[in-house]
Amino acid sequence: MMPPGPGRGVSPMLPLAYLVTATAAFVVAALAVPWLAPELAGHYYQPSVLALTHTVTLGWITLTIMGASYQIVPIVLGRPIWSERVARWQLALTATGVVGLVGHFFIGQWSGLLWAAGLVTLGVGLHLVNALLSVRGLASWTFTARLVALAHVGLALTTLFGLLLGLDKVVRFLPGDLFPNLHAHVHLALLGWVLPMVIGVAARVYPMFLLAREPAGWPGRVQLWGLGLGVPAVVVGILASPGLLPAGALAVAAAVLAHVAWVRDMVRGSRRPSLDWGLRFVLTGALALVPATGLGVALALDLLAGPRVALAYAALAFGAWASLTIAGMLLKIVPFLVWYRVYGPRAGREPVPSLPDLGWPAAERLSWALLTVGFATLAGALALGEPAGIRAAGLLVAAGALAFAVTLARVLHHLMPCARRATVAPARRVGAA
Amino acid sequence: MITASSNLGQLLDEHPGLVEVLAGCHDHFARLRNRTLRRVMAPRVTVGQAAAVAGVPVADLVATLRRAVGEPEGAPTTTAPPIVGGPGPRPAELDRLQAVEVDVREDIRRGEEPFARIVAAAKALGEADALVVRAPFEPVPLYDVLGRRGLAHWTEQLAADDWRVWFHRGAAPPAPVSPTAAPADAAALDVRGLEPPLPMVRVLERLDALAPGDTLTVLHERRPMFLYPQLDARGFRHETDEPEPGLVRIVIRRAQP
Repeated sequence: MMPPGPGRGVSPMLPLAYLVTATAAFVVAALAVPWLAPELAGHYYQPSVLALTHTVTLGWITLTIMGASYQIVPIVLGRPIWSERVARWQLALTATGVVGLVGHFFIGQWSGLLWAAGLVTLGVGLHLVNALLSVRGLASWTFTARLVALAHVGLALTTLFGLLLGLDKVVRFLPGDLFPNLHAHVHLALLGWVLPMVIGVAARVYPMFLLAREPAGWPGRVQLWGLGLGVPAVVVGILASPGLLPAGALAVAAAVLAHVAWVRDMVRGSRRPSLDWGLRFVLTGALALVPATGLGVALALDLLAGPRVALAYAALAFGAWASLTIAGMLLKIVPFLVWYRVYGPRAGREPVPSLPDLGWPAAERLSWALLTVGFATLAGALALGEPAGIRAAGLLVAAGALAFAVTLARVLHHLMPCARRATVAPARRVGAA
Repeated sequence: MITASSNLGQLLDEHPGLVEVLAGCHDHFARLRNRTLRRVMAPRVTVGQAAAVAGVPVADLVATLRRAVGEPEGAPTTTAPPIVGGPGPRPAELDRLQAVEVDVREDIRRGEEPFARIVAAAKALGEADALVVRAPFEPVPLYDVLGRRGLAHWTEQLAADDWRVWFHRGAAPPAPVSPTAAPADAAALDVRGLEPPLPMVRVLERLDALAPGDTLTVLHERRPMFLYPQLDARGFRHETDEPEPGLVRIVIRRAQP
């Protein structure tokens, strides 16, 4: 018999703390979009746009992935987290660093960026140490384990690159022009950190929720090789060797399409009678990968160019794909964590509510509609550079983010003792044989 | 020549138009219009077994099919292959076995193929387990398929569209020891295919009935990292292994007082 694991599960309050912080960042970023519409209609290299970008990438996406990984990684890799205490320090350092970073970007004080970037680097460093020690001795390097490892290499490089870019603002020492360095940093984050993490975890988590067989076969190899070779080629291509960029972009595109093919197969093989809103968010996000990838490849091949297209590409990649996917995952993860914290100890001893009893489908549907239409419209308006269109789309995104936050707040209120008593009484018994 | 032992899959490959003929014979056969069900189920069924599933006389069904493809109707109809086990009084040993239920009524209602799920559960069956299949019709083809795995069966019809079939080791020839064989006093619970947190709920619901020293063997798709702390908190010991890829077995034992 293999050991059952130390039996010390992570307290659900740890990932919840990350996810609540990240959701707050999402709401702040979404509310800022209509407000920053005139700036977004111009060039992306402006203090307020950089502040908005880091609110999304660090505050929303990275904190969510870090927090979710403390719930999901033990499940998909079958390993407990090495240290919960380190993870708590990591949240405090990273969140403080992100606030400092965003604030200094916004006011355009480059010198103040350094301490904030240093805090973020420290927080990310703790995450990497925790992740490394958690997977130490892992018996089987599955598809998911490999992509999670690749993602953490991407996170380390992205953070280091970001710190160097911050230092370069104070003491100019980096070779090359500003924009290639900036583009390489963005693509390390998007393709080297977020993409492998999401598609690696998706291979284990989507079948769990879709009640489908786990995917297998050649698309997995395409994803591994496509990202393993394509991402370095894209980054090196941007920085130093433009000839590598098209090949790298095509390799990453192949990996993305293989992932989309897997998602399609899982949906076809799903045994669920219907999709809940969390899954609809996730699947809409997967669909958005197709235009985002198309735009990325077109930029890499010089078929399209300019800051307007680049901003539209960012809206599709970080908004329509990453944000919808992450929001969908949160609609699955947060109810589970709350249920586990509040009702897990009572399960089997007394009637407890089911996960759907904790949710609010009407608000989830509203959020899905507003965010889906909002991100699609935002990408179009950014491409056109129309401030009025950007403001209108931004209002949709902001309303969608607020509806999403309200949905999560309703789930979270079960953590309050008064809410538990009110819910348990009329609830049906879950899972009776 | 079509006979009771003709394979339905081959027949439909050669004469695709027979799907509509079969659907016209009985509502049960209308499911064969579903391409997935037809591809998966039909090759495993003989005409005689299909007649038994639908509750129509074998000779009538054979004659109808022959008429549809232009064969003479008067030729003799051979009987279907013998079926392992069968109806009769309820075997007493079923009371001693731990039921591992696989309910496929919803799968079939949605037009999905339940065969792989049933066979997976049969493969994971311990010596002290009985596989209980709930289906909306009598799953006659399973008698043969699982009979070849050494499982006898006993069938109950609970309602017009609700059948419960117990598959057990019984007097059937001994089968190779399952990789998931559990101790003789063990209860078994298969939580594969359930959406979280239902696997955990199902397990926790079974724990109260566990006497000191008794074991509950849980079959899972992954290591239940969030279940372990609950087991620890409730004073249960547990061991986990992975007898085959994709199958995780957790043996839970109530600690002796």
